[in-house]
Amino acid sequence: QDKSVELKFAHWLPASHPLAKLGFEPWAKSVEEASKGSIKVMLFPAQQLGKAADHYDMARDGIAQMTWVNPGYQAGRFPLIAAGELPFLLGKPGPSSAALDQWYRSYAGNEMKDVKLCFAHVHVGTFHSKTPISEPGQLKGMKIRSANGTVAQTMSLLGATNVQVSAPESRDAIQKGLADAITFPWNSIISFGIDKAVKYHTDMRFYASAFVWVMNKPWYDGLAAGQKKVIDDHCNNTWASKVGASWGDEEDSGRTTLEARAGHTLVKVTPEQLGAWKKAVEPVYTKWVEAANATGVNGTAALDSLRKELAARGAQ
Amino acid sequence: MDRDLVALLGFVGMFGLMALRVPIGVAMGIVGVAGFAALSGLGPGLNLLANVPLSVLTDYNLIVIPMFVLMGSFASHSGMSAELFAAGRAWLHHRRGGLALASVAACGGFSAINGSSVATAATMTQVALPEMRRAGYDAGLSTGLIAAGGTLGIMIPPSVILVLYGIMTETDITQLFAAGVVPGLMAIAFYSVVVALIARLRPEAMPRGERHSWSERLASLRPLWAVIVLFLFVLGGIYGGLFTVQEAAGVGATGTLLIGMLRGRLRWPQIKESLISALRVSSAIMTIVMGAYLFGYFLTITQFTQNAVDFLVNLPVGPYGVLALVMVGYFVLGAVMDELAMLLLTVPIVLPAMVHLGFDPVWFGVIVVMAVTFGMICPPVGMNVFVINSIARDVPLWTIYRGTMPFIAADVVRLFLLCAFPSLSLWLPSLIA
Amino acid sequence: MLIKRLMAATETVAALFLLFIALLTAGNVLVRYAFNWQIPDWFDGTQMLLGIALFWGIALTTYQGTHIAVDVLWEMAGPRGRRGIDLLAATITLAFLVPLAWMVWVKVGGTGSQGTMDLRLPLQWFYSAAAAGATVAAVLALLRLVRLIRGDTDNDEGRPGGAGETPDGP
Ligand code: NA
Ligand code: NA
Repeated sequence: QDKSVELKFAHWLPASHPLAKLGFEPWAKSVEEASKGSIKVMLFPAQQLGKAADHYDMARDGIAQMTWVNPGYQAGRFPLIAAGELPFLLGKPGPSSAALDQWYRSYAGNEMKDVKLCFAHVHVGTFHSKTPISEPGQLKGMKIRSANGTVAQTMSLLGATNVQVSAPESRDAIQKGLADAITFPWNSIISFGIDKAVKYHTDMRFYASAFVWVMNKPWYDGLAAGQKKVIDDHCNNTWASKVGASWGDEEDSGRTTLEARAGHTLVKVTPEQLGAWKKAVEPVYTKWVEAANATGVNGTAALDSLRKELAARGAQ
Repeated sequence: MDRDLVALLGFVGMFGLMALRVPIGVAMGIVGVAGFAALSGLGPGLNLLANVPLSVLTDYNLIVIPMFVLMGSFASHSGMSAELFAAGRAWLHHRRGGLALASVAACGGFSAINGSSVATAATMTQVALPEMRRAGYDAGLSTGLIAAGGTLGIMIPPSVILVLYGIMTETDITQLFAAGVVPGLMAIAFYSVVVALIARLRPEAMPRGERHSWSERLASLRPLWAVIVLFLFVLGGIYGGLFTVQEAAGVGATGTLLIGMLRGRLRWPQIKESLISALRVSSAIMTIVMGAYLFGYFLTITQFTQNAVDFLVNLPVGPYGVLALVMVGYFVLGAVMDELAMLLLTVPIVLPAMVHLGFDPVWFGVIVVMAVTFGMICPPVGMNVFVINSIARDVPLWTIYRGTMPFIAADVVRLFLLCAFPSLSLWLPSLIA
Repeated sequence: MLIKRLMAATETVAALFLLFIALLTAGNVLVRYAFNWQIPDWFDGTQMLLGIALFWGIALTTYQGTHIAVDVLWEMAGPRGRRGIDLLAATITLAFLVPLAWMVWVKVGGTGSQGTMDLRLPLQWFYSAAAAGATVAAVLALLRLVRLIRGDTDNDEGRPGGAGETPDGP
């Protein structure tokens, strides 16, 4: 029996959030079982150990041993993983998570060198608005609550302005006219009560947010061989896909709910309109390639290899 | 080391440092860091200092505190508190206890445009106390009344305490503000009854003044437009859907500044003084908030927080028994320690237990304000009393404490009513939900 | 005397940041309704202004000895006891603020290429201005300790709660 260790796992979602129920808790339980109780996982939800934007540093510094991080909260700090935020690149959350995770493993050692990456996953969402949005030109002059730095960049590019409020405050912000629209995953619109403030939902996969689970390095290095194997078995592409799919499918189920609900309209996007969208957001891709080049990575090649991973898994 | 023991040592160390007149925020912070380091290692402990101060002091939600403090500072430097009192005096001076009633009313009015109990007590000490003294009012009664009236500042919206409670517990601040209105009006009514009773029992403590003519009375109302406009604009803007609470605070401060400048009351010297005073108050408050976060993260990893919640929930005394125990605990803590620190340290433990026992978080916000209210005016450590004493140097502390007693009695009655009838607090929020 | 005037000037500048926050917030609400537009980076800007004002404000509060503290024991003590308490409290405050200033700089150093949401202005600029306030807080805590050792008393005598004219607390 290995010497028993503690894994403090910090995140910033409420303990009742679907990802906590479908991702964090099953993962924790599985780790405890596989390690025969020698790794004890303690979950610290709801910013109990630090603010959302500090979670990467918290794992690095050992304030917690594992944290859940949205790299997009720190715009510009992690330019490579921001590929997972590029508009219209990702599709179904499960396969997309698996693809991004596989792709990012070759870069994490550099970009997130002061932590150990467990895995990466995504959520995928769209516009939810007071007035229908089907074409990029309609964004001009709109105020949008963006999900992350790359979405914010896209909004500026298309002539919209960004509103930063936390997810729980979004409904209030839209009702008070601070924002005209929000980029959000489907079911969270309902669980955060934002469906009371927006009527139109653009029926396309527009943006994605990338997330990583990261570990404190000295802690991982100090584990016994058996415990390391347990962690390795839970920090792989299979788990990335599993977590991405179970949360993503739950989010996607909101589309059906809202479609059936009176007073809510799914705004259809024609193939021509979709083409216009994709053309309009091209400069965001260029910017990403430039940022990647600046880190010493061949941006164009890297983007191609991500596209290949996505295609191989049928993510679209 | 055993976690419970570390938590216990942490509390002992924190209170020890506080007793040594170490700034409260520093006492909490230093124990938080040391305790975290004891359990997780020196590196993680020190790294709390990298994350927490910057995160807390640049938290957008917290702009509400300096902005509502600044609004009150502009309002008092531009003479709005004096105008409120003058109006009350014109209408009530000829009655027995008239100036005291005018003070209560002015406290209530000023509370509607600032978020701080201490600031309300301070400005009323400057405005109303000299007049009451000149008119021959009993010193203890006058100061005790202002100490109690000052607490309206945190019950009647806007309120720094309700804002902090809302941020800590993720409770809707607009709901909390609405919940404070009726309890605040109750306080005005109850304090007035206390004044009337004392006037009847001890007429010599509150001599009558001369009657003001009707034209004087009406004239006294005219300058009040500024207070009314500000209150309606700020609160109306929040509830009418014009802006968020954070924006309301900034808009309110700007509006108070503009009105003061338009009326020629605020020129650069007054503006500068208001800004500096708001900065000092905000810095003092935010040091405590920062310290409380550091101590809170430490308590979280000792699991004291969770254990204490479990303990409270499983006490075999029923929900109201737990509530009664909690209130007694607050009464004792509030008497001896800083109320802000008390609130920041206890709410993460007490509120989850209360919610588990079936109490409403918005309602409990009002109850927490009551707990702070007691702490502000109860001996031996009552912040409002200290502030009044620091301005009115000739009134001894114990005289002021004696003066607060009848009003504390009124607050106890009010607390019982608020507990017995939660709808007193929750009716207004339910209207705007 | 020079140091006093320097402090006063610094305090005024830090306090002006509060005015900027108020004006930025009100201005943003105004242009939102008047022009359906928003001031770029109003959100990040507000936060940065707040942080800078508060770090510098805390520095001055430390020097002036106007932090909120519990005075019960101090009030009961004699002159020598008070001096002992003051020295101890000032030393402990210094012992807290020095690592704090250090670690805030460590955080600033790790900010890297992070920028504001709209204009991508480097966060390091703003964080550095705030961290400078933290450093000044540590230096002033030391100055205050030296002053106390030399036997100067605080000029805010008799405060429980703050300097005579400025009540602090909620
Ligand atoms: Na108020
Ligand atoms: Na007290």
